[in-house]
Amino acid sequence: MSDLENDIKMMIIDVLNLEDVGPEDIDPQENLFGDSGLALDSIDALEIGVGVQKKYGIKINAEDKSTRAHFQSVRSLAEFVAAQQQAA
Amino acid sequence: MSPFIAALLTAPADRVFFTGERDVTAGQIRATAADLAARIGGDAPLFLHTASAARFTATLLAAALAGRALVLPAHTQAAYLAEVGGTGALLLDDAAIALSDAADAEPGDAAADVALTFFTSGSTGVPKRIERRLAQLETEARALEAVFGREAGAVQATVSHQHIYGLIYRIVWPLMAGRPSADRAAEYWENLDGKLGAGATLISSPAHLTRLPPGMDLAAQAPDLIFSSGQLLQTPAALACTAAFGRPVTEVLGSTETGGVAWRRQQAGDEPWTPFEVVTLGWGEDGALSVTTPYLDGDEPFPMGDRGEALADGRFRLLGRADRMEKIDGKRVSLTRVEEALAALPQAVEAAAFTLPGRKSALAAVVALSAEGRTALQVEGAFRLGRHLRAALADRLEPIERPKHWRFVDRLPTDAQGKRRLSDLRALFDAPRLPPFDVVARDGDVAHLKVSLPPTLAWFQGHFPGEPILPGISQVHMAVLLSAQVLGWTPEGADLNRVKFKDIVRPGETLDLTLTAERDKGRLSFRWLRANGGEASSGSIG
Repeated sequence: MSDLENDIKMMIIDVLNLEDVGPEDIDPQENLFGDSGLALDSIDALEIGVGVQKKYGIKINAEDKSTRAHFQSVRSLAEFVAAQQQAA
Repeated sequence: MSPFIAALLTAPADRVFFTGERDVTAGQIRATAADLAARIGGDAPLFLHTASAARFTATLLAAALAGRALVLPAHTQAAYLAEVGGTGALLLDDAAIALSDAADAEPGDAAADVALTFFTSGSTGVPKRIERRLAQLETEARALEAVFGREAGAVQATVSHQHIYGLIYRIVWPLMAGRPSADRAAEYWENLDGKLGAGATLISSPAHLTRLPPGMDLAAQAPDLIFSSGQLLQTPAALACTAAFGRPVTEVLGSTETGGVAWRRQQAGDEPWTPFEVVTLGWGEDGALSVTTPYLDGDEPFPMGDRGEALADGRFRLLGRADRMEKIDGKRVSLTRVEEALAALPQAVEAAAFTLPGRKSALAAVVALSAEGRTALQVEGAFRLGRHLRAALADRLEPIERPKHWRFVDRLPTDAQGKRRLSDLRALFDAPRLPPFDVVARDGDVAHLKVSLPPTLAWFQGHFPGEPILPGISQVHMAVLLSAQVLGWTPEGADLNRVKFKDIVRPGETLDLTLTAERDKGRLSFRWLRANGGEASSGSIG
């Protein structure tokens, strides 16, 4: 597991105040939103968006269609963060 | 004179209470009251709390003789008494009231009525003060006699007389009707074994009626009348009682404020309620039930907090609690609707939804699991089960209406009266919870575990603000809790031996823990290692 993925899991657990779960319980490829996987909702998405911006100093464009794809799983989010960090 | 007091002035040898050993006579009650009346003349408020109905009754008579009011606390725990204004009060309990052996005494003139203060737990857990008068209880006792008098017999009980239901059904009504009553309520069904049967009336509540004893043949000793009040007896539980006793329970709908409102017997399914004759029903918006009863102080109809519908024959059905609304993130959410949606899931039997102080942006739920739910909890763990239930509610509830904080239980916690208290439900979220862990290896009394420490772990909170590290003593505490779960053993003593805290542990770390139970020495050794192999802490406790 990459350190970045682990960091993002920790951030999600922290900002959403998730109980009874550790980073190793979250599969990096499972869906964050929708009715499967973590089943997070739009308010959770807001929280995670704020968390990503705070932790990694990355601006997220809510209008951008690809944002949804970036937020699909921990892995896609980690790839997005890594790409943004490299671009900066 | 009050009819209840008049009933106590019967022939001195008349048995009014039975204890299983010696019966208590009307003369003894009068003699006890005469002794007491001399002691309670001062200004200090009189708080009365007894397990003995005979002592309670004698004090009630003494209060009438001395022209005093009585306060009836639900229990006598010091903090509670202070909360309900008992500081500086004269507390009359079983120990303070000596039951007289005298055959009789001349009681003298009694006041026509006695003011009584009851406390209900209220939905928030804060005691709610409710003023009643003995005369109102007498009116209700007469209404009960008119409906059930022909079937009623000697009274046994599983409920306290400190609440209005127990006081009316165990003391006021039987004494006015000249029927004896048990001095003490039975705590367990087994205490009633052999004491029920024909000629008996049982005053009970869902607390006992949903926990019938498997080993007792209840049908062979079914009382003629079984009353249940205090909270609703759900239809499946009511039918289980009907099957066990061979006759239905008489359920009474009411409240401390209104007295009894209606009654029903569930023989085959959800039966409608028959209002008592003295009660007038009112139906508000959305079928909210309000009632006017002669036991109420004013003329204003009292909202019962239930929804229902009137039937053509004068009876009515209840359709659930009237909406309890809560604002979540500025949106109004019906807790009732959330609870109904949860209870309808196959994993759940019953559920309570509410907000947590400090976590106002999402709902919390306590769910009593079905067999299917318990299996899911074992297989998936609490986190995944909570996520699944959230997803399963998607077609019935808005995202904001779906709980985010979960606790799973076998039964929803209730107080001694069978009522659900918000404070008890919230307390389930307060206790520190063990972090997720895996048992890597176990060899007898030695176990190797991997324990991950999420930032949300309670032990990181406030230690220290902005710079969370795991307190050393919680590493010891966790070792003991994990030993209980993994090794099934905890040391009895709490002496720390050679305990060293060597390194700081931060949120998000995964630690290796080695537990060694030295049962013969009563000692548990532990060693916490960080991922880099360095020791965080080690030592033993016992």
